[in-house]
Amino acid sequence: MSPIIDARGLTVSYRVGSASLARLRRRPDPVVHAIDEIDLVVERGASVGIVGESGCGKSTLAKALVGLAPLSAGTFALDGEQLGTRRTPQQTRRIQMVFQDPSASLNPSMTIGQTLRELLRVHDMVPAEQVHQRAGELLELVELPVSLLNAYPRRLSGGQRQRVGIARALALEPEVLVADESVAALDVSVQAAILNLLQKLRTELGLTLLFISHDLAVVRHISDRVVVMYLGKVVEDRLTEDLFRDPRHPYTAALLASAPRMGVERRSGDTALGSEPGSLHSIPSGCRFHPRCPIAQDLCRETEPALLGPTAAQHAACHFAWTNRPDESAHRGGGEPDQGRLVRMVTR
Amino acid sequence: MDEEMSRTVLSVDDLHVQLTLGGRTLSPVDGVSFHVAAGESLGIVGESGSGKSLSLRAVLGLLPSGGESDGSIRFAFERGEISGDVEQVRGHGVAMVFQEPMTALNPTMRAGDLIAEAVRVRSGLSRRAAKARVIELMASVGIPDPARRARMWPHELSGGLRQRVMIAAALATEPELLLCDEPTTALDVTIQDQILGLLRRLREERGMSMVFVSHDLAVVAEVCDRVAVMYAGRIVETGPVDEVLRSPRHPYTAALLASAPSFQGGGGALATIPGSPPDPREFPSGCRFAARCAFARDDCRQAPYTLAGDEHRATACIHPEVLMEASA
Repeated sequence: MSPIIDARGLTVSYRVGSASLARLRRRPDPVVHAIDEIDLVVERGASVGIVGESGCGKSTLAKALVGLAPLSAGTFALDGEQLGTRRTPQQTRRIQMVFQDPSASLNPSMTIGQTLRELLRVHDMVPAEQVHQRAGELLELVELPVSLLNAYPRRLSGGQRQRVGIARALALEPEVLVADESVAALDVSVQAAILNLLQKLRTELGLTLLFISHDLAVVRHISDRVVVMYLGKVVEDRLTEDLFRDPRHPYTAALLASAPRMGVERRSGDTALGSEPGSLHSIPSGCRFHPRCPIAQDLCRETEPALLGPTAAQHAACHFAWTNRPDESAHRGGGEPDQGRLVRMVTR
Repeated sequence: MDEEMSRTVLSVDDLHVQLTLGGRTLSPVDGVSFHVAAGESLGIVGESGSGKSLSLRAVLGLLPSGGESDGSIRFAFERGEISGDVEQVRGHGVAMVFQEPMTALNPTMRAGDLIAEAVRVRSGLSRRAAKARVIELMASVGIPDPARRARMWPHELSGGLRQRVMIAAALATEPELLLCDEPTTALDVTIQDQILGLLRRLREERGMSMVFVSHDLAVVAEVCDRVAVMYAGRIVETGPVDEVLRSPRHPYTAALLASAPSFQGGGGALATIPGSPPDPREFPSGCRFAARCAFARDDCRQAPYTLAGDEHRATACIHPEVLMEASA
């Protein structure tokens, strides 16, 4: 069976200044790559979490997949069918997004019923006489009372609005649901209910879920696999259990260590990554993480590590991910890692 | 415990906040009392609308327009006791750090000038002397290259640096008590860790007391000694943070803890709290959590609100034994 998502070398670039001025000043073309040659292969029915700090490109990746951000390079096939940025309604329908802030993404002057019915009509999802009934069914699917069809978004609580956001995405009967920080704005008890709903829908409807979040505990709960991004690149891509038990990229390790957790004695600040995340405007040479990396070697400053791993499900982009880490004493020495037995996730 | 530790820096008793919105009056904070000892860090946790931020703002008289508070707020600083007039303590003993530094910092002032203003209010230093102090303060909160950053505008700084500027401005007044309103909610987890580490270090170095309002139980567990859990305008449980989180005595605290996904994993559905918090326009009588409580009994709906217990631990639940039975 072919994977449902097969993305190769996805790149989204934005121009950040005048090209001719840059030429006059003999500077490189002023372009930043929000995501830079990302490979992502996802099997049908999987739940993949995508994590990273602000600006790492996780939302851009989501937008590129649903066709809201123009691809500068790379290909994206959904279940074998190539999708570009311009998609037919039939293609649009197959991969849908749930946004972070449901109050900003719902039209305040339309009732919930109007919003859903318009969508069903435009996409011709059901015969005209069944549109009303289907809108009601969608609300039931997300566990909302059908009476809310006549309500305006402002009358709904944050959790209810997010359920409407999910119903709206499900109206088009997608195969892939991309949830971009969909529970970030919600209180923890409401968040729990939305996470349970997403899990239920995933099993009942056989959805593939891409869950983008900055919250590691949430990602751990909902995903089978986690993709960690840093400055537009994937740095680690592992099964959730493995990644949380034994992170292989120093960035993942730092990310996990910096999250406060209940019941675990921890002194905040002790594990802090010294500085701010780097900027896309001045990508460091070699490994993008090396200026903040506690185990960086000369090799890291010169050569960008590839995303490699011992099996098809285990990948990390660190020169020392699968070798013994150079410890403090070997900080300046550091042997060349043996990468002969490691494999790439995808072969281009 | 020596005398210094037992001094209560902040005593809030029976605080009420009334908000008038569109002709209607709400009581989003309804009889809140808490005390902060010298050097102590108190966390106030709760969900949106629980009244945690308003309680904190009321302490400094920073309520939104249409808001009024009454109740007793007393400060006891090294220089003496103050009650009633918040003007006397704002910038003179108490400072506040807000959630979103982008909206809390004046966008038309350079970072250094923002801090300098706070320095001069406190010390009456000359402009030149204030400038040196600003650089010193910026360095002390871990802002790299402070001289250059002092000349930058707030919008040129990253979220983490903006929050550090706000903390530096708060420290400029040499506060004995720092009020923090969700200071790390808008930040990435790595930057949050840096800021929490900074607050911990400042507290250790200066013996500062702190009130830390947050929705995040894990963060409060890490930075606070004691915690007060708020629900629908009232404190429902208080106690040492590790005890409250380990063995809650109010069903709301227990439900909140159960609904948070665990970092240690463990699948299955998350526990949820049925229903939604009561509307502040029509709070139910008796226990306000009763309608959503898995253990509610008939007498819960009439029980008057009291926080029963001692200074160490207290709960507003009249049947705290149900939680022990449930966990046994």
